[in-house]
Amino acid sequence: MTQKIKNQVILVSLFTAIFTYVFIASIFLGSNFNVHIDTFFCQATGQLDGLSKFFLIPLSIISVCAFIYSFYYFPESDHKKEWTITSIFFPLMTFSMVMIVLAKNLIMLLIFWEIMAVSAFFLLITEHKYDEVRDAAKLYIILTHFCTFLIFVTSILVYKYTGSFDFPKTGSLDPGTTVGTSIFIFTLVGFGIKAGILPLHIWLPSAHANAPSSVSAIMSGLMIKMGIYGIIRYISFFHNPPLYWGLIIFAAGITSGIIGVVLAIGQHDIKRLLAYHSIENIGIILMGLGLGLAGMSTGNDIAMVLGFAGSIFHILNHATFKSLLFLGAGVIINASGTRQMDEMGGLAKKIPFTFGTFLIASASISGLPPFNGFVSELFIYLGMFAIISKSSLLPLNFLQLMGIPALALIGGLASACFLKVNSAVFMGTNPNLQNAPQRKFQESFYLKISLAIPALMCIGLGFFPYILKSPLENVIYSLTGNYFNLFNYFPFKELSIFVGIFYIFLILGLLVFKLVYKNKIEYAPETWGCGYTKPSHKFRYTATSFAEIITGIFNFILNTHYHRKDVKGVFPKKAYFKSHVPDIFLDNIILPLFQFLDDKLSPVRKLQAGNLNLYLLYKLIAIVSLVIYGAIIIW
Amino acid sequence: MVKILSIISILTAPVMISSTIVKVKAFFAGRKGAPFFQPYYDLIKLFKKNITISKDTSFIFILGTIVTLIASIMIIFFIPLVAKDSFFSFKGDIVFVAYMMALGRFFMVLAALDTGSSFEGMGSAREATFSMLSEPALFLALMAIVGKSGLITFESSFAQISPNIWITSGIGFLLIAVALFIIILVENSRMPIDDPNTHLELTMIHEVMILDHSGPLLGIMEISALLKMFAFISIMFHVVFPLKFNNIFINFLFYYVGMLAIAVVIGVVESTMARIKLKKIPTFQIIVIVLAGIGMFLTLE
Repeated sequence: MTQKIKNQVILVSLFTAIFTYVFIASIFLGSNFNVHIDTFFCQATGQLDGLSKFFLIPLSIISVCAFIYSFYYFPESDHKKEWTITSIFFPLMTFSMVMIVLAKNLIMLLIFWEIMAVSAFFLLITEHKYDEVRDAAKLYIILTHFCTFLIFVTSILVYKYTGSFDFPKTGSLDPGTTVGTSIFIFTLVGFGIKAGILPLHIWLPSAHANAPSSVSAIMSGLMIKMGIYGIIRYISFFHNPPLYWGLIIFAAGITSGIIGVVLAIGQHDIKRLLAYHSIENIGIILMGLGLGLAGMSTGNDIAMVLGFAGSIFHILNHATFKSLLFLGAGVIINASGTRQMDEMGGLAKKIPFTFGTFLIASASISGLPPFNGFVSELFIYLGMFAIISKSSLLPLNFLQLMGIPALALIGGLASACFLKVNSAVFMGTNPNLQNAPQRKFQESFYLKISLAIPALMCIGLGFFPYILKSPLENVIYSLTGNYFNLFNYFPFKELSIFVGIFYIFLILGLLVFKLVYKNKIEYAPETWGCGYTKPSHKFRYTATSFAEIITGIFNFILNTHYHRKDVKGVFPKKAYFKSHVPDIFLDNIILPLFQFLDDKLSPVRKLQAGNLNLYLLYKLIAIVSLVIYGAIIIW
Repeated sequence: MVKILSIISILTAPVMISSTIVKVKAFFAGRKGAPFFQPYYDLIKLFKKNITISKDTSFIFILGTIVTLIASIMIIFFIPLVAKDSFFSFKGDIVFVAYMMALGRFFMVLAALDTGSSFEGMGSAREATFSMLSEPALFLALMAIVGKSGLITFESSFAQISPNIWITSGIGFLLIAVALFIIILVENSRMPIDDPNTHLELTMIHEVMILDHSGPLLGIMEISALLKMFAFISIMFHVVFPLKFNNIFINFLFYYVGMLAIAVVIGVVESTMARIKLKKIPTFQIIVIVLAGIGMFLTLE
């Protein structure tokens, strides 16, 4: 494709972006609406309530950023095929996600769910010449269809309950019945696979790691959020959800959060690491959701409002910083020619813009104050602290006793993990990188835009969360049927003031420092390394060693495999050290289970003998039995 | 008036605490110890110097150092010092303070790692790990302090801690106080965890991270460490000595006496204990988490 066409594509996406921003503006101002269209197969009903509107914000912004970015990830001159795949399936996937959010009909949701899942599959296998990519795609397609199957079952159950394929009204179903309980379970497991809740996450790490970075960004930033959307939407059908629903979701959140971040620390592959962080953040989102549900069923308004608001806010926050991290990871991988963090280093001077934005995203995902990750965690903290003062119910005390330290631990582990990433990737020096294989990839203008927009969102939402006050109130309205003024629950004003003070101090501090010490700074040759005459970049503390103490503490979860040969004797032979962290659920439970089933079920395979006559006999038996069955029915 | 006294205490108390610890340690070692105002002289000397920076560093080195200082200053705003009222207070400032500390630490570690030195990598890895483990304990202690006040601020929490509370749920608060004390030792790199005096890279945590900071940058790091310790000891003071007097000056005096008493205890601990083995520190910290958890549970009614 020529440069001209490429520029046109970019123009179109920029116009789309502007259009979506106008659309978002109308979201903030406009009211809810319903659409009803008769099609040949079903009645397609759409809706735009608070929840849908909120999900449209990340969908419209992040997908445009990732789309612009993808043209720079695959420069079309040497990636014709990848270019084609991206330009077909990327918009299709985004469109289907928008339609999922707008759907007000079970069938419509299912149809677009499947379009989303399949187009994500095609995007995932863009670079199908690599074995790992094909393996990841296989695992993904199996699990996504299992997920669709479970959602299918859920939809049929809802249909059985209400007699209509339209979404039931908010709070119209009774959770006490068997059907209600089974809808809850199937919803949690079905959408949970997509969302990547912990034992169901097995497809997620390899898929995120092996997809092109722009695809990982929307997979992690947007697609797994569709799972959360599904859970929230289906639960909102019920009135007064019982307490144990909230507790189950909260417990799932804690386990996903802690184990997700621990698994992340053990990784050596930057994109796998980011993928496990998605699981962690889904955990935080679920903690908020569980808190909200528990508050709802015990009549604790503060916990309910703050829990829901924190959960929903974190969805947007995670979409911004995680997609920014994946986009940044793409630049890093292109600049260093590897995905292994231990082999990187010294990229800060080579890709400074990416470094800056990546750092902002790292601080946000660790939940540090001037950025947006902190705001949503503060919501959840305040909700959990509120339980202390309000009630003495034991299950709720469990929520705060477990929840607050768990969230603190998750925050601490996440910041340790991102210190590891930033140091391994950007800091120090690495002369080897000069020879690294590189695609034609520079920090061009459009690339910078696609990184800058999420970065600005991280800063902006951290500084001025008030902008989301009314969208959040609308979401809570569409979940509970009541308007709550968030001003009474959350210190919007004070937070903005003190973050503002922080920025003023920062600017003043930097200015004073620059003015006073401008002529007093001198740059020495290089960092002192014990005075060796030939210092090597290999003296640097690697990512693996940085995480060593933490992985040691959590070895009961990580189960790290070491392959090593130590330095021994006076004239040591060649030594090496390798470590590898398996996924506990996939490698230790699921795969052995399927291996076992495969072994035990081998007799059944004799039915498939490869003999045509035999197959014809099967058909005959089938037809005859159908005829007999039909005859019985008619009688 | 309270504000003026608070400002006076911000300017003097951090240095007094550190000097007291030094004096106590000198007393145990049979030495005379550095003059009481030595830290001021050191700081003035440091700020007069030039800065030498490794050419391997990026802009993060200076930025990180300054962010560390600002985070420490921001913390002081919210913690009540002389009396029970702080400079500012808003709903949720407890969480804000805890995360500001995390921000300061994040950028301190980042600045250290920016040099690419393996020593600083070593120190950073330890700092990141140990502070990560002290975070849950800190939050459990904060939960006990918040208690049933419902307003998640330091001010209202300290207002509801009275000597009475020590009578009704004394054991719980004792455990919380012990946990807080150990958190102070961990977060400020004091003795059983870290040895602030050795200069052997393999044994240090905090000191090794600031190896490449020179002159004013080192001064900034020292100031932020002093402020952080001051903030922690102020929290500890309000938990352990929850007495209120009507006269503001008596309050002020009592505050100084209490702070210095805590500093003396830290000094005694430092002089009489040996460093814990590095590998044992996580276990030790997990015990602290459990302690804080039990304490928190006992303060619940």
